[in-house]
Amino acid sequence: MFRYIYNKLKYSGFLKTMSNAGEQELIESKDDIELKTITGSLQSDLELIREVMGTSPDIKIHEFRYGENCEFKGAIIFVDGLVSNEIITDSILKPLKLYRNFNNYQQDSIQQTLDTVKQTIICAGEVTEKHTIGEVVESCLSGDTVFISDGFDKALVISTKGWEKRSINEPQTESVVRGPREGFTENFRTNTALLRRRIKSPKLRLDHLTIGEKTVTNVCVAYIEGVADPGIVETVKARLKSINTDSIIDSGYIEQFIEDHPFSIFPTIGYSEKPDVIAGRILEGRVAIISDGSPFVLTVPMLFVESFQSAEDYYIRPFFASLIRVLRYVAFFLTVTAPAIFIALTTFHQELIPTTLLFTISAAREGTPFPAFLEAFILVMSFEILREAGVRLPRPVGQAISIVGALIMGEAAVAAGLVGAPMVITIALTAVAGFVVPEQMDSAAIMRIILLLLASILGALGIALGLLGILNHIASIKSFGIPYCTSLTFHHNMQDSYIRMPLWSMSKRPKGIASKDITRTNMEIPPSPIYANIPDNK
Amino acid sequence: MKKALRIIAAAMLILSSALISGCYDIVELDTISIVTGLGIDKADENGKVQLTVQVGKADAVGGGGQEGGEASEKAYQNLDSVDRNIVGALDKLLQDNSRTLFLHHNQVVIFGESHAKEGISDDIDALMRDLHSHLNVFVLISETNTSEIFNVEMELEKIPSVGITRMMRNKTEISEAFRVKMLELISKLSDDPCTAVLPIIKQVKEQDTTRLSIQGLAVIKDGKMVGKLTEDQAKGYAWALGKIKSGYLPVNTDKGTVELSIKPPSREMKVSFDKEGIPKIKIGIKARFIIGQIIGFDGLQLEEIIEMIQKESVNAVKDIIISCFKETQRLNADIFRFGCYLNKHHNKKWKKIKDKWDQIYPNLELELTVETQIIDTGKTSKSPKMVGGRLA
Amino acid sequence: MTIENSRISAGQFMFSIACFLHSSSLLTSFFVIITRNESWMPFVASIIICIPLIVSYVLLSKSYPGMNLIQINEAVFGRVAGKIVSALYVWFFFTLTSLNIRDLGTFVNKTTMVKTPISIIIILFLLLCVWSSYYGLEVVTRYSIVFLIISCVILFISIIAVYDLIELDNFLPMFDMPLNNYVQVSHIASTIPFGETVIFLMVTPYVDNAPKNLMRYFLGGFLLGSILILIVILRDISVLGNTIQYFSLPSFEVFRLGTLFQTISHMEIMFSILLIVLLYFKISVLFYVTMLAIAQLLNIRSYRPILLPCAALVVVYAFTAFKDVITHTKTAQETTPFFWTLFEILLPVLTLIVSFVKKKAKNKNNRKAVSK
Repeated sequence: MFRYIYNKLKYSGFLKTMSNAGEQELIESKDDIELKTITGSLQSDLELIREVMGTSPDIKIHEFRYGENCEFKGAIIFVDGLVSNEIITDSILKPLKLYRNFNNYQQDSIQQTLDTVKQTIICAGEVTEKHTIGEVVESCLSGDTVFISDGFDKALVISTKGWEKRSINEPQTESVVRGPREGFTENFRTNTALLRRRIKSPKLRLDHLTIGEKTVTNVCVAYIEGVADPGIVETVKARLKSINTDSIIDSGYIEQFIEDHPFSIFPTIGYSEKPDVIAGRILEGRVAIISDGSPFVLTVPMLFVESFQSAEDYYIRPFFASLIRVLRYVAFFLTVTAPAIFIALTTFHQELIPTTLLFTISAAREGTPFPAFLEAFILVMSFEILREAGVRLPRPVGQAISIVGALIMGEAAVAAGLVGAPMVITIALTAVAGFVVPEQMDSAAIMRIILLLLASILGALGIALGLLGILNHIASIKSFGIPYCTSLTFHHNMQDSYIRMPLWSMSKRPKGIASKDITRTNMEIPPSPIYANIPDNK
Repeated sequence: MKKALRIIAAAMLILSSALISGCYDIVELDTISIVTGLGIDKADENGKVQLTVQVGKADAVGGGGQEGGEASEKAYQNLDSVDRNIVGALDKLLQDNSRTLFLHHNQVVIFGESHAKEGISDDIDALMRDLHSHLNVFVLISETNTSEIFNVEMELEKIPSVGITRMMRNKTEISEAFRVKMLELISKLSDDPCTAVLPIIKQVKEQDTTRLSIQGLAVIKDGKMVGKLTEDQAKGYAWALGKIKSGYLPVNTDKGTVELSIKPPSREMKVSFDKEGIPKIKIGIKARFIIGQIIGFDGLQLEEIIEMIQKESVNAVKDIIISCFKETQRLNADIFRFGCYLNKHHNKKWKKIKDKWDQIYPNLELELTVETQIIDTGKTSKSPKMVGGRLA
Repeated sequence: MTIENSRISAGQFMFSIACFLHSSSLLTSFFVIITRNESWMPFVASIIICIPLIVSYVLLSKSYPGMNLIQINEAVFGRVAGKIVSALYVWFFFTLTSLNIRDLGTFVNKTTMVKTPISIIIILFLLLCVWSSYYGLEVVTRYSIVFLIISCVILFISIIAVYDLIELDNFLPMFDMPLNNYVQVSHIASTIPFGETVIFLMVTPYVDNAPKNLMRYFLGGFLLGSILILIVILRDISVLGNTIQYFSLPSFEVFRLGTLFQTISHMEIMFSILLIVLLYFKISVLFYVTMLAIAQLLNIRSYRPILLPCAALVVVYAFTAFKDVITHTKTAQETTPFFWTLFEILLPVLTLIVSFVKKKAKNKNNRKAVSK
C-alpha cells in the first residue's frame, strides 16, 4: 500500500527527486529538422517547411514569380485566418510583382538583393530576416507571412497579423459603479496597448518572453524602471524562464508555476482584469505579467490586504471608502467564522447566548434529526453546490432556478423539520458575506470548513486554535520576498490597509515594494483650495 | 520520499488526535433543560433542605412560526427534591430526570423564610463555588414555601421566575437598595459587620386568584434572618442610604395632603467621636420633590401650600428614617453598614470599638438633618380649585 | 555563526514585551489574594523597583552587542562556568514554559471545557507554538501589536460594561494590613510578571537598530505592559471590592458581571478570547526562547530539529511540576518568588558586575601594555 501511494506521488510531480527525470520525458526536445537553415533552393525549402508544418488546408503556400521578366521564383507562406489578407496583397504581393527595377541590381550580391527587397519593395511595418526552419515556422504560426525565394539563404518574415478578436468590454468579474469600465481581452497586443494608454511614461518597460513548448505563449513583464525593485524584476524573469512546460493556456498556469508557496491556501500572486487596477499597482512598484490569450494580468508581489482593496475605493472619497473597507474585513471575518461560531455557541457554550434567544434556538432544534455539526456541514455544502450550479447555468434559466432552489428548498427544509431556521439564516449570511471579498473566496471556503470541523470538536477553543493557526500561516508566507501580512500588523504601510487615508496624504509609495523613487505626490497636506484671481469685468 | 511520508504521517497523527480528542464537552440543545429559578426551603424532615427548580420549556416559550393552540400548556415545570443540602439535592434531580439541568441561565434564587432563619451562609458557599452559577442572580426571601411561589402563574409572563426577575427590575426603579444580587450579598456577608437585607416576596390571595408581590425587606445578621422591615420602614432604609429614585411621599397637614414625587436625594455622612471612641453619626439629606398631587387645601394658593408643605416634608422624611433606624436598633442589626463605613474611613478608631459594636449599636446616636426643596410642580402649576372651580 | 537569521523591528520588540507582560494580567490572582483591595499599592511599588532591574538588563545587553544571553554567559564566566550558568537558565526557561502552559490548560478546563482532558488542550496549543517557532523570531512576534490592540479594546469595553458597578469606596481602607503582606506582594509582582522579561535578553541581539535605542524600547515596553496590568487590577478591585479574595480568576468574574446596553451580558467569552490569545503569545515567545537557548548552549546549527522533542518534554513537565492546583497556588505565593529572584535578579546582576570588573581589568592591562 505504501508503494502504491509512493508511485502516485512520484508521477504527480510531488517528489522533487524524481521530477527532473519525469519532466524530461514529457517535453519534446526540438527536432533536428527545425535546426536546419534555409538553403537557397526554393523547392527543397518548401519541402522542409511542408514536412514540419504538415498539410492542413489552412497553411497556405503561394508560389509566384516576380521580377521584370518573371525570372525570380518566390513563395509566401502564411496561415489562413491568422493573417490579414489585405496586408498580404497590398504590402507584399503588389509591390513585389509590380517592381520593375530588378535589372539594375543584377550585379549585386544576393544579400544586397535581399536587402533591396526588404527595405525598398515590401511595404510593411515590420520586416525581419530569419535563418532556421524552426524560426520560420514559429513566425508563420504566429500570424506573420514568410517570404522565401530562390537564391536567398534567409527568409523574410513580414508582420501581417490580423485575426478576429473580442472587442473591449466591461469585465464581468469586476464591475464598478464609478470608474473606467475597460477590461483586458485575450489579445496580447491590445492588452499592452491598454496598459500603455494608462502609463505614458517612457520608463514603463515591457520585457518580452515566450513560454511553453507547444503553445509558444507570448508573455511580457511590465514594470516601471526606477520604481520597481530590481531584485523582484529579476526574480520574476528568472522564474518565468525556468518554466519548462508544454502549454501555457491561461495566466493561471503561470501563476501556479511561479508562486512562492504552492501548498498554501492563500494566493500570493494577484490578478486583475482591468487596466486601471494594473496601472495603479505598477505605479506602486509592483511588476505585472501579461500573457497572451488571457484577459487576467498577474501582479507580483501580492499582499493579503490587497484582496480587500477594490479599484473603486480610490475613486470615491475617503470616508465612505474607509467605511466600506472596514465592512469588507468584517464580512470576511463573518464568512469564515460564522458557521463555526454558531456551532460552538449552541453545542458547547450555551451560557453565552442570552436566555430568550436560547429558548428560541432550543425550540428550533427540538426534533431536528441531525447533530448541529452535520446540519451546518450539509447546508454549507449545498450552498457551494448552488453557487457552482448558478455559474454554469445557461442565462435564461439561471435566475429562476437559483431563486427556486435557494428559497423554496430552504423553506421546505425548515418546514419539514430537517434543519432549524437559525441555522439556515446563519449559513445564508455566511454565503452572502463571502461574495464581498471575491479574491479570497477560495481560501475562505476552505477556512470555513476547517473552522467548522474544529468548532464541532473543541468549541470556542477550536475556533481560537484554528484562527491562531491561520494567522501563523499568514505570518510565515512571503510573496516574492515581501511578508504576506505586511500592512495587517501595524508596522508600516498602514495608510491603505484597514482604512483608506485620503489620496493626498499617501505621499510615499509602500515601503518594501518600491525601491528608489519613493515619493508619489508633492502637494501640501491637506490641499488648500486655490482661487485664481479673476479681475472684475469693467 | 522520506519527506512525503513524514508529511503524510504527521497529517494522519494530527487528524486522528483531533478526531479522537474532541466531543467531550458537547451538549446538544435538546438534552438540557434550562433552569430559570432556584428555591431553597427547609424540608419537613429534620436537617434536610428542599430544592425547587423551575425549568422553562423551550418549545412553549420560544420559537416563532409555530402558531396554534398550545397556549394552555404550561411553559414551565417545577422539579423538587429533598436532600441533605443543595449540592446533594441537585445531584438527585440529575438522576431523576431525562435531561441535564443547565444552571447557567438561572436568574433568581429564593430562600424560604424558615430556612433563612437557620442560616444561609452555607448555601451561598455552594452557590459560589459552582462553576455554572452567576453572581448576577437576584436573591429573595419568601414568606411561604418557595414551591408555592413558583406555582403562581402570571398573566403576562410565561414563566413565573422570569416574571419575578422583571418584578425585581421594577422594584429597582424605586430604589437600588431593594435589589440584591448575589455578589452584593457575598460582599456584605464577608465584611464586618456581617449584615445584609434581602427583599421579601409573598403571595397575595384575592378572591380566587393569587398573585405575587414583593414587599418589605428581611434583615439578615450573621447569615441568619433575624427580622423584617415593613414597606415603609424599607423606604426609610432607602432614604437613609440616599438611594431612593422614585416613588411618592405623602405629607399630611391639617388642611390637606400633598403627594410629593421623589427625585434622587443627595446624602452626606459625617462621624464624630467622643472621648471613649464611641461614634456619633450625622446624616445630612438634601431631598428634592416634584408635586404629584394636591388633595384638599381649599382656597389656598400655590405659594402658601408650598410653604406649609416645606416644613412638614422634613418631618415626614425624618419620621420614616427614624422609624426604620429604631427597628434596626431593636433587632441589633447594623443594616446601614455604619461599621463598614467606619472601617473604611476611620480605620484606627474602628479597630478599637470593633468588638463592642454589638453593644454600641442599639444605643447609637443618629443626628439627622433633612433639607427639602420642591423643585417643580409637574406639568401644571395651579390646580382647578385654585382657579375658582367648584370641585368638591 | 548565528542561529537566528531574521530581524525584528524595534517597535515590534517593544510591543512584544508589552504584550508579554499584559498576558500576566489575567493571572493576578497570585498576589491579589494576599493584599485584597489594596493590591495596587505594592504593585506600583514593584513597578518602580523593577525599573533599575530593566536598566541593568539593557546595560548587560549593551556591553556585549550582538550576543544573546547564553553567549554573554560564556563570555563573562568562561567556557565551563558559563555553560553551567546557561544550563541553569535553560532550566528556568523550560520551567516557565511548562508552568504557563499548565495555567492555560487549567483555566480552559475550569471555565469552558470541563470534561476535556487537559493534556489534549496543552498538546494542541504546543503544536501551534511549535509551528510558529519553526519559522523563526519574526513570525513569533509578528502579531504583538495586533494582540495588544485587541486586548486594549476589550479592556475598554469591559470598563464601560462594569461602569455602574464600580465603587471607589472599595479601595478603602488603605494600609490596613501588616507590612509583611505588602512586601510579599511586591516581591511576587516583581518576580512573576516583571522579572520574566529577562528572557528578552535572548532576543535583543536580533532587534534592528540595537543597541542604540534599546533602553528606550525595553523600558517603553515594560512600562506599557505594566500600566495595562495596573489598570486591570484597579478595575477588578473597584468592582469586586472585598470579594476579590474568593475568586481564583477575579477578571473572569468581572467580565461575568458586566452588561452592555442592558442586553449583552455574560461577556466571559471576551475574557476567554483574551486569555487564549495573550497566553498563546506568551507561551510562543517562551517556547521559542527555550529552543534558541538550548540550541545555543549545545552549539548546534539550527534549533529546528529539537522543536518536537522539546515540546513533548514540556508537556510531560507541565503535568509533573505540581501535584494539583492548590499546591501550585501556594507555591507561587511562597516559594517561587525566591527561586525566580535567583534567575531574574541575582544572576543577571552578578553577570553585569563580573563583566564590569573584567572590562576594567582589561582596560588596565591595555593601558599597561600601551605604556610599556
